[in-house]
Amino acid sequence: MVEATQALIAQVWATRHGVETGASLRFAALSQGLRAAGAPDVLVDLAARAAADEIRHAAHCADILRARQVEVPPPETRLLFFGPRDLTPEQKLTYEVVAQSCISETESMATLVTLLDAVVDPHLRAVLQELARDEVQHARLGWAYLGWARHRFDLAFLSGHLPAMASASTGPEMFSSGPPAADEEWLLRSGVVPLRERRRIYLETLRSVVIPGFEEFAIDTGPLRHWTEQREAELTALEH
Amino acid sequence: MKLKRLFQVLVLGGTSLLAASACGSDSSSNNSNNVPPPHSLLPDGGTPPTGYTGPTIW
Repeated sequence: MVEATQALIAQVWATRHGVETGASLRFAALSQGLRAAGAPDVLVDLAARAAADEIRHAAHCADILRARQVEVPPPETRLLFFGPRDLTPEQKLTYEVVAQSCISETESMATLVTLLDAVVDPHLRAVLQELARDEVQHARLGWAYLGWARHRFDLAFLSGHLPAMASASTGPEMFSSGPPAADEEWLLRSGVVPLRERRRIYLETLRSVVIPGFEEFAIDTGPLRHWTEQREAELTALEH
Repeated sequence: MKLKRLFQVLVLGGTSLLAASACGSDSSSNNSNNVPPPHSLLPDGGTPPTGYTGPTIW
């Protein structure tokens, strides 16, 4: 059981290394896209800074893996976008900014906040604090972008895409049954949120931050609310 | 910072950031002359399906 848990911790940090390196590539591309779209300098600069931040975050993940004597995986080298092909250039940019910042970075902040309440190791705590300071800005980028974009074009198209963005952000494993080790409470001490808690935090953050956030910009959140309710129902079945 | 504060810190913080830098006006926009955006705003290479199914969150 201990071995399984250690392997799980290593797997989570390795996945985070990939998440960070992939995010760096996306933020660099988003910075270019924002400039090309005529977005304000503050947004262009935030995205460029985020690209550099994510490299530093990946280095922290790699250090943690090395300290656990685990091989560091190769960085993500693919520039991964998630929006459908049939969007206009402005819609495509908006899709990717929203998916990355309003959903992924906002949700990641919720995980970091949870970990900061639980982690006592001074080094890990310092790393998490550094990441949280940066991730605040990465998430704000998306909400600030919507504040700018809403005056320039119609954001209504986003509504039907929000469930796909949420689904892509979690990957397939969050709402599947995990191994028994995934729910161990002491994972928190190693910077890993137990799966059951992670699901709860994810959905609570959708309900209390992400959905109200979109509603601030008059975006119809009906489809995302429906998706959230479906996941909550699945979890009730999965966990009882 | 608790979960319930995230809305204020992230969503309202984001919109305040835009206001604070006076970016709501065209004066600080990178497109103050209303030049039409190019055909593609994002670099090539990321068009789905990408084959990536992993998470994008922590």
